[in-house]
Amino acid sequence: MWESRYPALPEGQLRGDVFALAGELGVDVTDVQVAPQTATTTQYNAYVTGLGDHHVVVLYETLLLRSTPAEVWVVAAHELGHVAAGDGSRRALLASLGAMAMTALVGAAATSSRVRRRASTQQVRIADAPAVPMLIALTVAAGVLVLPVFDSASRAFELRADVTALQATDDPRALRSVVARSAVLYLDEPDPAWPWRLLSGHPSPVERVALAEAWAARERCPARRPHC
Amino acid sequence: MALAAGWWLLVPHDPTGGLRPGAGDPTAGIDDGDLDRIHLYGALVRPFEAATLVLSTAAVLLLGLTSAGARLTTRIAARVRLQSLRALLIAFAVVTIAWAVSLPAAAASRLSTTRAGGLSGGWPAWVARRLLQLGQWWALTGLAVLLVRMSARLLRRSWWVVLTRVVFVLVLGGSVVSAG
Repeated sequence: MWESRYPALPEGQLRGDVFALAGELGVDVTDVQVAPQTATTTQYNAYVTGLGDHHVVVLYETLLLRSTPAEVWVVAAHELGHVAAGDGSRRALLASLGAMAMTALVGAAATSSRVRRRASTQQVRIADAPAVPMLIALTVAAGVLVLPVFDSASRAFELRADVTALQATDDPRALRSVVARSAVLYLDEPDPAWPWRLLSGHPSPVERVALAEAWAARERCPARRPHC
Repeated sequence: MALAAGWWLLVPHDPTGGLRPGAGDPTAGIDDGDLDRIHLYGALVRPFEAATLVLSTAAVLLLGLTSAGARLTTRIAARVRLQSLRALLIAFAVVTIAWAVSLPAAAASRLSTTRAGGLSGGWPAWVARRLLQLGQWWALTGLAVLLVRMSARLLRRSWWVVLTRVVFVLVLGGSVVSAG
């Protein structure tokens, strides 16, 4: 129903490597496709789409044009790592729980006489139209509280997917160069100030590079890298 | 409680898998020329991005949680008799005011992005994206307002307890559909 319909990546070593990587990580991949993004953006990315046993790895054309095969491989491993760990379902459940928490906060605040007095809505019922601005304001306030929690979870998922990519490729150098190139293309501060870090769904480039360095120090580059 | 339990069960406790990364290279391996460009972009664009967020949030909080805001919003669509329609019109007005208040900062952010050499389309594309964003805010807020009104009318005191479960199912369903 939600099948991705980009052109397939032509047969070759990279396509075979991505299938092999998926098999190693226990992810059923039915196709590797190329999203032709060159005309609309110079930024690069990849993702895995699909449900159940049918996943499609989608690589941006810009990623293929700007990266070495080793870098594409590490990006594919990162994305497949998300699927292998069930991060999509985990994110969906967390988003649902976060929305529940927000609704509960809004409900509790909207029934508080102190809040109602401040909003001058003591005389109206929740279902009445004049209560709408108060409900919207409380939802925004609840979102400000809940969203950083969700972003923090997202950063943990991303770090784990980086570790999976390192385990699968044994190539911390490729991860480092992908992180640096991505930061340059997206103009991301390598080490942003805390408010931006708090509201980001990804670890900072400095954190990701530190992870790759820690991995390199541990593994010292064994010979299991087809693209090194 | 549910969020805390969900966090405990769903979020990896040790995402680095036992690795203990050090402080790391503060440049993240980016060369000096690119680093200067990134810092310039940050200095020019970040303040406007923050202003966009702060202004729209402040506008919504002022309209919804102060007596002055209440005086202003109760005048909106005061002659409309159908309460659901009036609730929707008030919601759209609040959202539009918040959107409009933050618009100058958003435009300045876009201008700074271009000056700093960041990627951005032309002004027509920017206007189209802003209008699309407003449309999305209208749709989401309208749906939420109708849901709250329906719950509050049907369930009286326990409206938000039931609504939390409805929201859980809706967001989960939406997440599954978008994941596909």
